[in-house]
Amino acid sequence: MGVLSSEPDRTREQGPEAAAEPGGNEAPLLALGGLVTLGSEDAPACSDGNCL
Amino acid sequence: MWSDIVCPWCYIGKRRLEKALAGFEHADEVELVWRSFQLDPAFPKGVREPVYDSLAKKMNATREQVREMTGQVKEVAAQEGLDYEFENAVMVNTFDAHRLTHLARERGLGGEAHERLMRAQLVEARVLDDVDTLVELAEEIGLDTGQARTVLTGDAYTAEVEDDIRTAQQLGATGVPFFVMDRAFGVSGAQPLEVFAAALEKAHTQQA
Repeated sequence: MGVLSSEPDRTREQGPEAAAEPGGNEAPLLALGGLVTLGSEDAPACSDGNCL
Repeated sequence: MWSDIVCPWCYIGKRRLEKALAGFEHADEVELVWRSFQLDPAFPKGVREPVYDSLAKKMNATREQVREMTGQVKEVAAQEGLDYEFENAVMVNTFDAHRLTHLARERGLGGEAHERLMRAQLVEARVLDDVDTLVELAEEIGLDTGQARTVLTGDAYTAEVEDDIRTAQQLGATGVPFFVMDRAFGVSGAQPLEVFAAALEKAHTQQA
């Protein structure tokens, strides 16, 4: 297990509209190896052995 | 779905995906493939360390501080019907357990294997690098115990586990749970149920 992040306080979809927003801080479309990413960037997950 | 069996957010994400599938009109068309990921591949094989101690070292915190921090994930897990047991949980290298899941996947029991092993680690605080424990769990999953022991005492499915991890990295995953639908849509982390539901709809619409 690893670092436990907090639950996201909102849900959003990272689609073409989000990516096109000027000055927005959304992750770019196709950020994951050509995948369209869905959901909040800060959803809780485990990485590098950390889940806290 | 990529996950590590010691990952508390993976079990929560699994529950949310299952709920989304339960409400998805075309669930019978969905094939769920369980893939391996190691959160801490450098954790030495053969070493067993209480999870609280392991995290305390990683975070330069006290055991008590770690206990408090794990309180939040326990609360979220409880909302999904999962009663996490961190007090007696033991950190191990999960590579061999992942090799066992690939035997299960080959037998059409990948889902059963991930469910049983995550429950064993996160709810029951079992030690998942112990061959006898893993063989016992394999029997519960529905695997042949002789085959399971042969896999666990050898190196079968090493390439398969490594290939899963490499593929996740190529797709840009830096953590788990990590979900890819039809190699088109990515969902990273234990997202809310609604995100999984939307991803299933989108993947289906694209296929149609």
